[in-house]
Amino acid sequence: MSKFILFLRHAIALVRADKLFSTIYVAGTAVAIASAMVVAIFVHIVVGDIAPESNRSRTLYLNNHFRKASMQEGEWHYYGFSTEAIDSCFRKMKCVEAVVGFTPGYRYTGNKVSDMERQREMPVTFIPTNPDFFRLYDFTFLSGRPFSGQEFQNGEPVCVITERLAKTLGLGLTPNPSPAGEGQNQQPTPLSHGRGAGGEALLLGGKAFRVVGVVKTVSYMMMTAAADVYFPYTEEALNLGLGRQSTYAYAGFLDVMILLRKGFSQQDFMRELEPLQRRYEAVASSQAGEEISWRVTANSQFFRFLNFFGRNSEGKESPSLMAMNLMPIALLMLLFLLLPAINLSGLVSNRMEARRAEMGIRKTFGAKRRWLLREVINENLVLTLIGGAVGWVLSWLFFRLTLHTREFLTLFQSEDIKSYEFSLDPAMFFTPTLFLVCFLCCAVLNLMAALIPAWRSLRKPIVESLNQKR
Amino acid sequence: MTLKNLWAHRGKNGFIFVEIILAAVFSFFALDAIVVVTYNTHIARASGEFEKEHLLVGEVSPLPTSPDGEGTRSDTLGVWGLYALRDHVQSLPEVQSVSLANEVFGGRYQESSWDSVRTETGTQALLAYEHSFLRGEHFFETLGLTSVEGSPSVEELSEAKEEYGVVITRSLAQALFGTEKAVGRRIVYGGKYNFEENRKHLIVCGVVEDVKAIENQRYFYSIFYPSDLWDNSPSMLIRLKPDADAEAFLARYDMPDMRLQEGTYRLTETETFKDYLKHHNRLSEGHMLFTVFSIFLSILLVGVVLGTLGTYWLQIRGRMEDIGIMRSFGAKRRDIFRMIWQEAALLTFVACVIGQIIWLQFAMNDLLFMGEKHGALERETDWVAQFWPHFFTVCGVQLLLMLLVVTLGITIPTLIAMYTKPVEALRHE
Repeated sequence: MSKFILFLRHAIALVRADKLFSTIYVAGTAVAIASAMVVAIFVHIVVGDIAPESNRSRTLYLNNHFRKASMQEGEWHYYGFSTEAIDSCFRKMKCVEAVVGFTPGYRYTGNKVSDMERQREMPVTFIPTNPDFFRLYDFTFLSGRPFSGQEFQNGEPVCVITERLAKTLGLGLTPNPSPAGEGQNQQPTPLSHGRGAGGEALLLGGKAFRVVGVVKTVSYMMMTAAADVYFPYTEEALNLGLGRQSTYAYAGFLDVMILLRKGFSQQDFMRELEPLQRRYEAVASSQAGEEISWRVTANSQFFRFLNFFGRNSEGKESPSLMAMNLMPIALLMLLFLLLPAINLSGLVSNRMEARRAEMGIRKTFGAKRRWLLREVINENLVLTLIGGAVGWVLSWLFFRLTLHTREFLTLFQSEDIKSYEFSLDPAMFFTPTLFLVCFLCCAVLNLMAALIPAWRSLRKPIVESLNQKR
Repeated sequence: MTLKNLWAHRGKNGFIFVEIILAAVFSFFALDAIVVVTYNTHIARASGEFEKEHLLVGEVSPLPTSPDGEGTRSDTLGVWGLYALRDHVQSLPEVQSVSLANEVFGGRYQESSWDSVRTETGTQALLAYEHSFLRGEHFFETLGLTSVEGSPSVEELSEAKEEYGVVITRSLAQALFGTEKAVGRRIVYGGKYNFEENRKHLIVCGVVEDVKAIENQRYFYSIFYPSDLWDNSPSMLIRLKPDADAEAFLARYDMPDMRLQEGTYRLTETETFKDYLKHHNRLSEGHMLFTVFSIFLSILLVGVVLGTLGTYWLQIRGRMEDIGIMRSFGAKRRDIFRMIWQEAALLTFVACVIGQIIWLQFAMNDLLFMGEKHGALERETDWVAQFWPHFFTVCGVQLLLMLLVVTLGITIPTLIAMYTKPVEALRHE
């Protein structure tokens, strides 16, 4: 411990001894780390588990394809899913914990919601869905509850809205007695008949909806969960017809997300689906009098956004493929570190020139080259870590400043959506993974910057080093 | 002298030299995209650019039947109510001309707006941007387009009396027929996906000056074809008289209770043409590339500034004694600046050229930025579409930029060296 304190004191003394060098070094490191961290944070926001999309690592996004034997070779038709596919197929799978049928917010744009008196109005994004949506997504209920299975089955015009919408419309918020379930998946609770969120109503598309719950508003960066209103897709007043069946029994108009049970992977899901696919194809073919092929592709959140190299022919995801897809990101980060590393190398080289005499004396008194090398690198690491911390703050500042720009927004949401929540969650920036990434970036940068100049300087003969001082 | 100094400090300059080479290589494509997009947006102006300050766009919609907005009214006028509303707007004192339109020019730029066009005898097809206009709706004069010499006037073009007649832009006429005097010539339009049935044989009934549909792109080859009204909620283009104030007009008529209405139709959401494009156009690929590459380039350049600053600050600190001697022997401050700047400039020039030669290998493999694909195609006369002029233009810009950045980096240390007294400089160790 005392050795560490001694080292720290020595390092701090060196930092203070040459303030110019230290400032330039910290600034160079901060720019490098900030650039690399912006990339890392962006990837984290897109694929990481962040509330309310806390289960992204267990979520699969399904696509539905059909082909008839009479169609051209290689031609497949894309469909949504029907409620039958959800209930008769996916819900019965062992690896599946919840099946969410929904339509994304960007499908319905230009809608407005008003209070019952039409005094207040607001453009909104809405998501028609089923109760499993609230199991998959970790919403914080400020008031009320999710809509229940019963309300969903009955197609009742009920909805869950965000705090922002509730405030805009001036709806009364009756806070939940305790924040039970905060940070947990919400389970439907009995219907509240009291005032507040249980008793308020609003007009969506001219139709009255009863508000059963108010959730904490979701940042637009949570691409799938972000909306202003969530209501059952079985609701018929808006005439969306999402529960309808299309050409085939399993084809419809819904998007489907699967929440896998813990311990199961996309490969397990695909494996379990195979016999169900064959069984359905046999039934559909016999009904149609023609061979029908059904193909479901399942993407995890990671592969939904980071898929530079495609996947194997079976469409299965694997850790090696994941690592391969992370390579371009890592290379970009490395590129952001490489240029400043060269620049910092120049600075370290200059400093080592100035310290050659000191190194010569220490070598004369028996210090080994590897000790000195380690010491120089460690001393440098102190500066790099200071720069790293500044860089991390700079990267946060970058997001803070660009958050409201149209360019940044379109990376996450459709431009047709007219309602956004501009907020940043600390979980987007400060996580152990990001800390590790930042530390790794610092360590790599430090090695790239200090190793070669220090090694070159320490290789010089003692006599030459001692004669260096003019 | 400069070379001698550079060589003497080669160890210290080596790092910044390598950094500039790498920065030149990595930044070339980003800078290329920025240069091309900037050129397309600000320099490559079309000859027929129309005046936008006095052009307004509104949406025509049927009046709701009941206060809650359910259902819409119908009356005996039917769709003619639209024209009654148009005539009503036309009669306003501030208004010069009005046109109903199925779509607003440049308002909803999509991939589907493109198709191939060729002469009847030609085999080589070009891609052209298509835009519909309503017959007899004063479209061309309201938008502000101008016809080229030898072509019917814009008033006649708006009438579109020829059944299979289309209006094309000057550049398209030149590309297809080698001249802008293309009236009466025949073209084959459509069949982008090799669907023969989609091909239409059309007659050029007018040629107008080129006009830019999308801000971040060069002007396209464009075709204007007459069509019928698609539905009963078209857009309305309103050109105000030159002395009218667009903002005052909007303030006066776009209040909910002051909205222009006639019969069963009303004009809503009226805004200036510029605002309309801003609200209805998605961010173009060019704009996004410009933004992302600007950030990337800025990061690289900040790195180079810091690198130069650090290297030269430490280097000048070590050369203070030399500088002191120079000053003692009569060297002026500007001589000190010139000496250091020349070293930095030479170093930057050589490093930059090496970086550019390295990038040339990639550029020769189609890694020159051509702008958005439709806007860039088949423009042999444009420097962007020609390899060497394009490459050297970007090289020049990069060199200037790097010199500027390096100059910025050496300024502070050089100023310190310049303003240190010779006695102090000589004492400096």
